[in-house]
Amino acid sequence: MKDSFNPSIEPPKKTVTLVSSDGYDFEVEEEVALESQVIKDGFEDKAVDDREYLLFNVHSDTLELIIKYCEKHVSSRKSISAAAASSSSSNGEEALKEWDEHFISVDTNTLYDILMAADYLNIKSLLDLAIQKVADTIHGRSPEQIRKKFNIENDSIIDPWASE
Amino acid sequence: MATYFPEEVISQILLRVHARDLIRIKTVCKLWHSLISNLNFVNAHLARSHPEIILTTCRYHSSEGREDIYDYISIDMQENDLPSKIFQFPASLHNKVYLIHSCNGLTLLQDRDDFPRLYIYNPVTRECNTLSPTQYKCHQWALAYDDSIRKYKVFGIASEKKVCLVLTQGENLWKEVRTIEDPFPVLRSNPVLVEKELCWFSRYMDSLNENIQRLYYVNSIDVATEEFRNIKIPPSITKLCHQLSAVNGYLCLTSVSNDQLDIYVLLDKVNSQWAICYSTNLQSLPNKPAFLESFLNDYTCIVAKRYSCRSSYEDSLNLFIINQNQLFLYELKSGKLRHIASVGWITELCIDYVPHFKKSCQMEMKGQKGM
Repeated sequence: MKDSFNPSIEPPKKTVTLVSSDGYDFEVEEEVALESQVIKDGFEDKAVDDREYLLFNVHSDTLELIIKYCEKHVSSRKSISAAAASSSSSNGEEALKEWDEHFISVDTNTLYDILMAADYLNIKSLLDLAIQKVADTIHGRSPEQIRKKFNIENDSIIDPWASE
Repeated sequence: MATYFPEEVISQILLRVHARDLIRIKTVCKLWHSLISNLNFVNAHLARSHPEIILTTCRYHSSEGREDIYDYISIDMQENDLPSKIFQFPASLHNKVYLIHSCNGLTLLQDRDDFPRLYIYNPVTRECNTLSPTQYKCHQWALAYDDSIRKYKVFGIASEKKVCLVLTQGENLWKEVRTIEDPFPVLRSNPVLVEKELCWFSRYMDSLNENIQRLYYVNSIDVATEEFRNIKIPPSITKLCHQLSAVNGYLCLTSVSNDQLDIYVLLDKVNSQWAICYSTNLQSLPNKPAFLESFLNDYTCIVAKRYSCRSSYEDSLNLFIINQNQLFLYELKSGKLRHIASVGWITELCIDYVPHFKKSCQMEMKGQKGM
């Protein structure tokens, strides 16, 4: 599935190639790639035949998820604004929120990978979603549980703050 | 796994963690501790915190010799279902103090008997500090944050002595600030913080004339410079019930009679220029609850703030009402009536409410002398 993001559906759209850190090519629609602020910045200056981005920090497993997220958000935005234009009622935003919640309910390692990729690619809504999810996992946990979950070394002595 | 998170990302994560959790997890590692303790972080965290309103209710005892019981109900105004809970005091002060003011999640408590002892209490960290005693009895107290020196200050207004007392965080001595006003005003309401000035509503007795005349003013003191200001109230206001509030950074004066409610906003404090921004009549309210018979009784409290940055004056106006033993919130604009909580029988609502932020991780009180 990894290099199957070929938009074979008509009409042909402008595409961009994203290359993962492990060397897989992902061909995505321009507007999907532009969800990343990093790609958006300076996009116009790049030649049309040179729209290939080497994402050294994003593994193909993560990139696949990121693209799925961006595609969903681009299409949802369109249907929400279409519903607004025809003034028909829509629960598009609610549905998208639910989709996001489901999307981000992943194992800890995947969550960290998504967070770092969203940070690297500067996709604000995804970064917010991932950060909130990590913050939620902290809730109710003891310092020791958190160290374990986040793989943080305990650099504090028994009662390091007693002197403060 | 996550140790490679950049500091900025960790800080963003911690900003979204509840204050109560933050207190516990600051011992995770040195980096987390320094991030959580940083004053900029504390302020940024506070800015994300949910605003609450603390309503004071009073239950009267019919049997002689027993005191009235005050309860403080805190209501989260940002959640859709308006969750409420009884404000919990530290066990050692239970039933011994009044909650009189609040700033950035810190509350100012006053001893019921032992005059004039004050406490600063953070309900999140459960830290409680006793303040140095004051030399005079004060009529009103207020807690405010002076961001020019990044310290908290407690203000006490002593009408009879015509002074304002100020205690700055980290100091032990109350400073006297004399006012230029003579006669000194009698306080009528809880001080409200608007744009770095504490404002309160006061009444002057003008005894120079044969007939004693009552003059109403809004007085304010600048939290940083400690300078006084006298603001005239709109001339159309005469003998009504008033309340001050802060809406979107403006000082608002709510003027209420039995069936009329007007809100004035202060446009220019130097020239005492007010404009009426909302006006309504009891009978013209949408879906008026049958039990709401007057704006002015012991079972209603008008809260002119909804804390949303989008809210207009009119959107921000809520009425808390006690009917039978149930507390309701009535939104004046939409006419929506929402149930909040059950309260004890024969419970009245006190007119002053305390705006409060519930999730503060302020920890700087710790180890500070005098505060």
